[in-house]
Formats: sequence, structure tokens, C-alpha cells
Amino acid sequence: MDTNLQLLSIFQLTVFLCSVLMHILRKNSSLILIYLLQSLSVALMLLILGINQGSISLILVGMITALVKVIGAPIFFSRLINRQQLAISTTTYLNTPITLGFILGLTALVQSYIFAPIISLFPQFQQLMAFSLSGILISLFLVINRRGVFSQLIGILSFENGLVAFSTLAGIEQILAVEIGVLFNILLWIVISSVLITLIYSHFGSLNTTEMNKLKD
Amino acid sequence: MLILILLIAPAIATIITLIFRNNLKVIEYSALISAGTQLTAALLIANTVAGAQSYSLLPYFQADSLSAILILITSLVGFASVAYNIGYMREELKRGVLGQSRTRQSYILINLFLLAMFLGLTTTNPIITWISIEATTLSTVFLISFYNKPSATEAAWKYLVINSVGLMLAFLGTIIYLACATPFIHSDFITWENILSVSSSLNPDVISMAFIFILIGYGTKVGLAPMHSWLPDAHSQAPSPISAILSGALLNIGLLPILRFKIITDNVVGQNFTQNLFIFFGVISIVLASFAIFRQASYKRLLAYSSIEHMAVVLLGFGFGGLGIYAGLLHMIYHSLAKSAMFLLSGNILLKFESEKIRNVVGAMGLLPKTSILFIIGFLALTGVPPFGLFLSEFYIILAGIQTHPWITPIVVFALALIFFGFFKQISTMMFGSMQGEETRGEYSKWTVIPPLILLSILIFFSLILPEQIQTLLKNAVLLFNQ
Repeated sequence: MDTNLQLLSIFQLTVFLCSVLMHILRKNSSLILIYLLQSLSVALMLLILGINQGSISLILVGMITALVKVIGAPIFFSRLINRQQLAISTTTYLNTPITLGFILGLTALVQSYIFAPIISLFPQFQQLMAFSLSGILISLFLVINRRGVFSQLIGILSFENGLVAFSTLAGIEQILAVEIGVLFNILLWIVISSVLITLIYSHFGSLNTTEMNKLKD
Repeated sequence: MLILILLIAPAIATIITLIFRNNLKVIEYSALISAGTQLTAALLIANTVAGAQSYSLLPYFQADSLSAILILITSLVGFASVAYNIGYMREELKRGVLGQSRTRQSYILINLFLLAMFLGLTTTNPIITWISIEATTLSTVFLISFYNKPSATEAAWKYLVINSVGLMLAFLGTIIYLACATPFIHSDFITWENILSVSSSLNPDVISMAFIFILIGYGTKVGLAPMHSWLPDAHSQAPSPISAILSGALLNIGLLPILRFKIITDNVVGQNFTQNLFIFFGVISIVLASFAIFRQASYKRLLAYSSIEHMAVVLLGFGFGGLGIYAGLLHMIYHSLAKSAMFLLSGNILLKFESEKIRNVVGAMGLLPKTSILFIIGFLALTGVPPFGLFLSEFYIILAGIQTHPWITPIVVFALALIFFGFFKQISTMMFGSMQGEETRGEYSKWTVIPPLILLSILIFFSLILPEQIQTLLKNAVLLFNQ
């Protein structure tokens, strides 16, 4: 098997496994570490493909991704949870065995005939695309299943990592300005959501979404 | 050049706001001049497109008939809301509810919000469209949490999370479209046009799935049920001028990429697939909105659910097809004018009664006569009473529905009737009855009366006489869907 393909497989599987691990871990600091690992895998995928294809823009995007998501975001989040002393992530709606069952179900769903047309678009990366799509859906499930706003934040960022991995494998390369635009958006998103988390904690004294029940019909 | 003006004007206004940070008059007038410049540019663009069918700036920006209509609506609503914001924020400053710093922030964020919307309307690239719509989410989060109350913060979080998830799904759909189309397109910069040009070569099964992601994703931004739960919270918690832009302009902008992808998808799998999906989501949304309107305790939430209802009607128009497409586009124009006016007027009611609760607003006609008369006019317009344009557009949509889906149409008519009675019950309670308390009678300033008056005047004018240029734009936009 081609070395580059082997490396891509390893990193894509890492992205997928990180999205699964996020469901199991409860400490916010652990979530940040897993997100760091996931983002590193995505950045390395971009770099490998960039080097393989001789694409300067992909290499540049990989480096900026590493800067924003591997270095910047984890430092930002660590300071946030230390400042607010948010050590423990809150509970989930479903318990761990049922959560793992759902994760298995989502992975099986992607392997089914429903998603077969999408996966078959990429004959050389079929299994990797399947794991990529599974990772995306599992990250979405994290946002739904977790009661903590910080976990939801990480879930959305994990979803975004899954999308980047998917689009990288799919060979969707836009002009550099567009790629940087997407990254800038993500950077802004991280900053804004972190400020909002601070506001939430100051108003509700908790990051549990069940405490936020001021708005009702 | 005109498209550049649309984008540069708010950027300049933002820079001026940052430089003259302590001079509120400069900040206010720079925002107003920027919005006025955008309105002028939008009128010229619409006129050009009506004559020439499209207007381009390099390969990166373009206005066709569909986007020209939305550019016009957005600039009108934006201008009125910025003008209203001047009076509204001055009143809040006077009462000590807000400080100078917060007021300044509101203008910066409004300018960035308008910039992001116009970028989304004029770009030719689906990914830049996505970036712009995501940017509208980011620029409005702190406008929704503006008053820094627990309810506003909660609304802002729901808005951010639900819209972000929706836009991620839309991004997934976009990537799938691009993955299908890229092998056939020999260009570094992918545009809507070149995806459409290769649409006959695309895999129908994949495109069908991708469209579902697009509809659910961007449909979240439009406030379609069941992805709508953020909308009543966000639109009711934001300051009234912001609610006006959110309901009157942003919802349409969320719909634009859905319509663009619909055109592409229809070429691949035929019209029935997208139409059936539109009808499904349209019916769920309108039924949900009709029952929710009855239960509302807040007039701003009432207006927010009305927005869900009207976007559902627009979607149904596109779903029914034929005359429904023309009517759907017409409905977008009329709804934007009426709804934004109503939110601005709700701001006057909020300033006077200092409460969003319907039960705390009694005898508004006595205290705010001009606002109340305009509010009643807006209510009649929104509930589809003739001779307002919304009656005509809804009538055409129902007519289209009877021709193509006769068993769905009674559900829609029933929901619309329910909405009228729900609205009537709430509005009549607010407008009439004995005044309570010691509030002084009278409006606050011309800034809080003239903008909604202008919007409603334009609505009435367009209801009676639709200018030829707009008719041409509508007809040409309909042709885009019948390729």
C-alpha cells in the first residue's frame, strides 16, 4: 500500500476514533486534548496531500490549520476552563452503553446502502470516506447528546474537523483565499463561542444547558 | 463597481466607527450614509439587471434577477433599520439601559452584518456563500445577546449552536455537490453557473442526498420546522431594529442557496424531488406556526412565529411550482417590508410599555397613536387581508397548490385562517382597552416613526402598483427555475 495512503488512513482513523472518544471522556481538559489530537491529524492530512500533489496552497492551509486548531484553540480553551474552573464536563442525555450503541448504529448506517452512492464517488478512498462520514455524524451526535455547552462547542469543532478531512479526501481544493476564509470563520467562531461560554457561566452559574430555561412559549 | 460599493460602504462605516469611537453623531450618520449608499447601489443594480439580466464584477461577483430582488429587499430593510436604530439607541441611552460603548458596538456589528449579507448575495462561489452566511451568524450573536440578560444569552447560545450545526450540514451538502461536479469543471474557481452547466453529468442519487443536507442545513437558517427552535428566541431577544433585519432580510438570504441548489438539482433529478421536499417542510412549518401563534405571551415571539409561517408560504410557492414560483418571490418582497416594519413598531411599543408581554400592553392606541395605526396596518398586511400584496401572493400560491396538490391546500388555508384569528386575538388586546399607568402619550422621535412608515408605504404602493423593473426581475427570476 502506498505510504501516503497508509498515512492518510492512519490519520483519518485517528479523526474518527477521536470523535468516538469524545463521547466517553467527561473531563473538559481531556476533551481539549482529544480535539488537539484530532486537529493535528487533520492538519497532517492536509500537509501530506499538499506535499504529494505539490500544492503550495494545501501545505499553507495545513500549516494555518495547525496554528489555529492545534496550538491556538487548545491554549484558548485551556485558559477558559482554568479561569472558570470548569474541570468536569456535564452529563449526557443517554448513558454510555446506549451512547456507544448509537455510535455503532451511525457507523453501520454510513456503511449501508443509504450512503453507498456518496462513498462510491471516491473509489480509491471508499473505506476512509465511510469513516470520515461516520466521524461527522458521531460528532453531530455529541452536540445533541451532551448537556454541557463546552462539550457542544467541542462537538461542533469535531464536526468541522470531520468536514475538512472529508473534503480533503474528496479532493475539493478551492483557491487559497477561500480556504483561508473558511479557517478565519472557524477562528472567529472559536473566539465568539468562548466569550459566550463566559457569559453563560456568569448568568447561570453553570454550563449545563438544562439550566438555561428562561425562554419558553 | 456597484457591487463593490455594496461591500465597501459598510466596511468604511465600521472603520469610521472605530476611529471616532466617542463621537456618537459621527457613528450614527456614517452608518446611515453607508446604508443609504447601499440602497442607492442596490436600486442601480436592480435597474441594470432588469435591463440586462445580470450584472457582474469579475468572475467573483454577480447579480442576476434572483439575487437582484434580494439585494433590493436587503438594502431597503437595512436602511430603514439603521435609521430606526438611531432613534431607538438614543432612547435607550437616555434611559441608561445602554452605555455609549454598547451603542457603538451595535453599529459596528450592524455594519459587519450588512457586509456579510451582501457578500452572500453577490458571490458566485458556493463556498463563499457559505462563509458569508456563517459570518452573518457570527456577527449577530452578540447583537442577540445585546442586553446581557440571562434570556438573551440563552437565545444567543441556541442561535449559535443550532445555526452552526445547520450550516455544517449545509457545508457537507456543498462539498458533496462540488465533489460530484469538480471532475467535469476545468476551473480553479467554481461558480454556481459552472456547476449548473455540468449538472446533466452528475450522479442523481448523490445529488439527491446532497440536496437533503442543503435543505436541512440552510433550512435551519431560514427557520423551517423542525429546525426552527432558535428563531423565536433569537428574534424576540434581539433589539427591535436587529429583529427587523433578521426577519426581513436574513431569512431570505438563507433561502437563496437552497434555491440555487434547487435549480441545479432539478436539472439532475427532475423537479418533483425538490418540490416534494419543499412542500413537506412548508406544511410542517406553517402548521406549527399557526398553533404556536395562539399560545404566545410575547408580541415579539408572535412576530417571530409569523416569520416562520411566511417563509413556509414562500417555500410552498416554490414547492407547488408554476405560478407558485412567481408568487413565492413576490411573497418574499411583501413579507420583508411588512415584517421589518412590524418589528420596528414593536420596538416603539417596548420602549413605551417596557414589557414584551402582551398582557402588559393595553390601550396602545391611546399612548402611541401613530405606532398603533401603523401596527394595525402591518397586522392586516401580514395576515393576508386585501388589498395588501401578501393577500395576492398567498392567493396565487393557494391557486398553484389547488392545481398541483389539491389535498395539501386545505391544510394551508386552514393554517392561514388560524394564524389570522390568533394574530387578531393578540393584537386587539394590545391596541384597544383602557390605558393603564402613568405613561405619557406620544411617539419618541421621528427616527422611530418614519422608517416603519416608509416601509409600509412602499408595501402599500407595491401592493397597488408593482414597478415594471420589479415585474421584469420577477419574470426573469422565474425563468431561472424553468430552465
